[in-house]
Amino acid sequence: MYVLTILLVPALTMRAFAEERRTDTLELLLTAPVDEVAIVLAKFLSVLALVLAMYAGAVVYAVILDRYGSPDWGPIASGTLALVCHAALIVSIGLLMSSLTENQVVAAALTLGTSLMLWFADSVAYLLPSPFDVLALNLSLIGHFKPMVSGSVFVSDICYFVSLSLLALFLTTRRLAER
Amino acid sequence: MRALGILLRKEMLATFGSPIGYTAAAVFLLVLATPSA
Repeated sequence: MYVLTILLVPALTMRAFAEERRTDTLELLLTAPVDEVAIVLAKFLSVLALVLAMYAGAVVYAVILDRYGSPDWGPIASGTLALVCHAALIVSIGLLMSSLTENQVVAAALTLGTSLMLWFADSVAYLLPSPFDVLALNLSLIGHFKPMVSGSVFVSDICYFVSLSLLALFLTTRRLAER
Repeated sequence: MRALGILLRKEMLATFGSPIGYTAAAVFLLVLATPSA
């Protein structure tokens, strides 16, 4: 599911600001009596809602497991939390990339590239000199995602997802504000 | 807060009604329903 998220979310977020800019409706939106934070939040929440609606199909598996067995709900809950945090991060990165360019395909490619770089950051850690290898290890998406999927929820992992998502949303807001 | 609600409604309609949204959701659900996924 998380691989699908990385592949499909760029297609959903690429049109967020790039399409508005291409059709010249972004100026209309920015001159409306709403601040940039509300615009970014509305776009973020709407795409995240669509992704969560797609995830809702997996509830069927949990229902079947509950019907025919007695599953451990802890890892299922933490895995769901990991998927939601992961989706929120990819959506916020997608919105940032969409705000940076007019071309939707470029926005999707940038989102996919950034997500993959974050995902595989720990794979290049051993190639880097001393202070940067720790940085690459701590930036790795998979390093924070896997423990949550296996049932270990650490505050550091939650903080990683929340802080990176907020940073991407903040940068998107600043990008809109500078126009 | 009211402005956020109006914007959210507009964006929800645009996102859930877009062809790319349908396509992504369909691909996602197809892969989810595949036994080997």
